[in-house]
Amino acid sequence: MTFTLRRLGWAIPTLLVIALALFALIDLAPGDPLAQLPLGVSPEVEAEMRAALGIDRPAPDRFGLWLQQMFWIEPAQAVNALFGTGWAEDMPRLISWQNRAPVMQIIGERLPQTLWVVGAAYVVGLLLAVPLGIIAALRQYALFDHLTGGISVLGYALPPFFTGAVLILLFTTTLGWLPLSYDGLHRVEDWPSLRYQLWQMTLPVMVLSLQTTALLSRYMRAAMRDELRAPYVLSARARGLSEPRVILLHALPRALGPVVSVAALGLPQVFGGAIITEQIFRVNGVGHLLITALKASDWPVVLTITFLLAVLIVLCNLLADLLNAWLDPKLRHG
Amino acid sequence: MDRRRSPRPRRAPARAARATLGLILLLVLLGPLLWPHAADAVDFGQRNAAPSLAHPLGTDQLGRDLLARLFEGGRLTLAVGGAAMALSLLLGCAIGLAAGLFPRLDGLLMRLTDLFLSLPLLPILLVAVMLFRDRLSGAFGHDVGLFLLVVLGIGFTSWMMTARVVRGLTQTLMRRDFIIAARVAGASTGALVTRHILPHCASAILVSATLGIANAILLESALSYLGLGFPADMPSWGRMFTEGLPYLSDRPGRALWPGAMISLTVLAVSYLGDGLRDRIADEIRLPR
Repeated sequence: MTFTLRRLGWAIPTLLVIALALFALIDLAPGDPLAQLPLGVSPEVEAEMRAALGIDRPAPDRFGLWLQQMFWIEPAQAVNALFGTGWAEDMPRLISWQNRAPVMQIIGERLPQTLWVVGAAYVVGLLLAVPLGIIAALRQYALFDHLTGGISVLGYALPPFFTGAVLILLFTTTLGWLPLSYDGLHRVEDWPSLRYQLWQMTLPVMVLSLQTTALLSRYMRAAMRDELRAPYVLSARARGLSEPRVILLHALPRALGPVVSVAALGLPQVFGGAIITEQIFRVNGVGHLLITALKASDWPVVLTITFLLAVLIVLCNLLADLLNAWLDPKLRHG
Repeated sequence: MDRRRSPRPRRAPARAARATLGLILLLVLLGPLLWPHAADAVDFGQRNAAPSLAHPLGTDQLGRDLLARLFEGGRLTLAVGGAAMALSLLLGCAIGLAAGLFPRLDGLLMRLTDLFLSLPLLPILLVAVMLFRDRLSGAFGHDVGLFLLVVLGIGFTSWMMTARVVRGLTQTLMRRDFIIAARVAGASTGALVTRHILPHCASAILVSATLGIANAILLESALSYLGLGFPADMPSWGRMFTEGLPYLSDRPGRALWPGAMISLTVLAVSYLGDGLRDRIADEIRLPR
């Protein structure tokens, strides 16, 4: 319990420092949202517009307001939307400069597409990595081991846009099996529409899960190898337990420990990889939003997405620590 | 304990990787000198030409020879990879050494490392490149400014693993007898670092270097792919890939050749790093 509290106590200052660093970086931006104003606009009107956007105030004020928006006003709005309450309704929300809509609303519109793709890629990656890693550990330095080793190096070395292009060329241009770009407006309502959704997700998920599989199968192999050398495995075999039983019921649960924490740490990376994958398959998800906002100098959106990714990383680190501590009491008390 | 491991890991992949990397370097360095076409020679009679004897990989929408551009792009990509790796190694070694040598700095520097590791690096790199693009190219000229921008951006976001490894090794070394003997004999910290600590870290740093090059090349091509790296007049492999992408169905080679070169280089460098790591795994314990 104290371990959990200590970890939580560490996560909050980390997030605050990251928030400050991100804000400071973006505040250096030379871009001016009002640079494109027509010439005829009078200075008074321009000053009013600046006040409306909140960019006439000094940086510490704006940082304070942004923190308040991130940690209080926007969560309160989320609660309002869920439960119909009226918290913080008259407070200024975080507004996108490009679309004049609340940033969280835009992100909320884009999030489902990203979650579909990232979630599926993560699950597929995990489901592939565990058996691959086990078999590679059992057949060390055999052909299969070299093969999975090769796949995992490929997963690391091939840039996702290259894999994506090859897959598009193969499955869309040449074979014509799969749709070229992702339809973000598609709604899953019945079986045929679910089938289409799975169909159009196939390519992005393949690209993203290759990276997850590459990372996790190596860890799975290493962890499994270490466990198979442990005395308790020898003793289990000596007692005459069948080999599948030794592997699946004795070694696997212990080997999964380190892999679970690596999997938790790898989740933000999958979201990061989605930035590029969404671009190549034209998935209109959060990563795509980040790139368009960046090119339009829409700093509130960029700042919010980047900070949310940082929150995700810190949370996943926390989760990995807690999982490790739960699995290994030595860490909790040492 | 590792000596008991019965079949030894094969060395062949590392050897093949070294040969591939040597070949790529040779092509990229000598190619532009020997190849008759210049990378920026426009020939409107030969626009979007299919591969032929004169242009083995075909030409682009301005009739420029793709092979010549591939050589030039390789120079830029590899230069960025090398320079960014050097910067990240320099930062990583400096921070790792400082943290390992001075316990007073250790806490602060390791918190800094942890902080950098919890940053969403790709978005931050994109933001930084976007923000400082005009400033740097204004200060150093267009080409040098953009090169510096990409190298500095990648270098400052990828030193953390090196710093951790060097710190760990330094801390272990500082407790070894020969270091204690050297300190008793009055060796200065500078002498300790250059005579004893760095030579002992050399193999670990070398492994970091291979990972660093691979990482830098991948990041550069990701930046260029997203349109925030090099512009059209400085074609790196990543940039050439992006430019070729709209022609994927008619002239797949235009995107796939530069993409394949990126992949091949990163693959070769990673295998080289793996081979090095296997070889020194007995010397020191490295995270695998």
